[in-house]
Amino acid sequence: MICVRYFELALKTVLLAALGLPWVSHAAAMDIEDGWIRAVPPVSSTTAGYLILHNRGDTDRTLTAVSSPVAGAGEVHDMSPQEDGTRHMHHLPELVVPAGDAVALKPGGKHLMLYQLQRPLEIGEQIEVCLAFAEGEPVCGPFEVRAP
Amino acid sequence: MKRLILMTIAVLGALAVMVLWQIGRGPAVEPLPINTRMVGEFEMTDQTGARFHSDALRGQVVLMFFGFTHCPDICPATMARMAQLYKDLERTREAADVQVVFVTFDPERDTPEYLQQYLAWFHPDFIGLTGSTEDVERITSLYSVVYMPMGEDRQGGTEFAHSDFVYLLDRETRVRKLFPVEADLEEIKRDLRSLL
Repeated sequence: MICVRYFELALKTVLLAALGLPWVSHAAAMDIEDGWIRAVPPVSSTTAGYLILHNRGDTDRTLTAVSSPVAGAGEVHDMSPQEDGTRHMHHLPELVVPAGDAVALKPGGKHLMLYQLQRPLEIGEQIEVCLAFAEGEPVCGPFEVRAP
Repeated sequence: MKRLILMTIAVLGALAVMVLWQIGRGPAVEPLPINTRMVGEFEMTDQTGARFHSDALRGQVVLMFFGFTHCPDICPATMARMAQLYKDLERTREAADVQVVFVTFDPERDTPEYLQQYLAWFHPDFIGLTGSTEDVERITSLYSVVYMPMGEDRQGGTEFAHSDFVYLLDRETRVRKLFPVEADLEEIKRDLRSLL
């Protein structure tokens, strides 16, 4: 009887581990380097975030959503120069981070958009930002609020 | 003979003074060209709600930037750089004759009250200009600013594609140079000082 119980426990553990492993490996594969958020005047309800997103895994990952406790909504945007000299910011519904590669989101280029800021952000404070992917678990990390 | 020697010494001395003076001035700086295409007057509403005529800028060297306050990337970054430059000029006591002006092409959201709160965060001396749609069309046409509504953002506001130069105006409100937003601040300072 005891043996059966131990066997069931062992089986459950193995099954749970088997279910959990792909998620763990996905989560561990992604990491955020130098995440920061642009400080904006307290009256502003929108700001931008920047980071280098590393995919250390062996499968591509697709960034599909952005969230933060300080923002009502988040998106990934790109800034593309136009032929007439203007720059056009547009929503990127998906951003692929190739396996074994990194994508830099930086001023004047691809960046995170944080809308509907719930409160003014102070320079120096750390804000949690979570990035959700089409595959695997989200990756969250602290982003430092920096002078614009 | 003695007189000849004295005259030679005097001439050489004068030449030496001239050479030293030229060296002290550093390399000759070419005057910035005057843009003869962007000429005209404008009237807008400033951040206090008062009407503002371009004549009010006469006598000041002006750095002017066109944007919208709900722009999260280029606009705050540029205004922060203008603030840094202005503070540098305050430290060297050169800011009194310099005016930074932010002009919005999104007057619907950028009301005088909103501009006042937005700009004060960067520097309380900065001027913000907004106005009617006609006011905005007039000033953007005058300075060949390109801006195009590109649909709504997540907050229901308008997104714009826009040109993003910083304009340097002399004391006569003539445009003397356009800088890309990523221009080196030292380059902007050098050109600005040539107009002070």
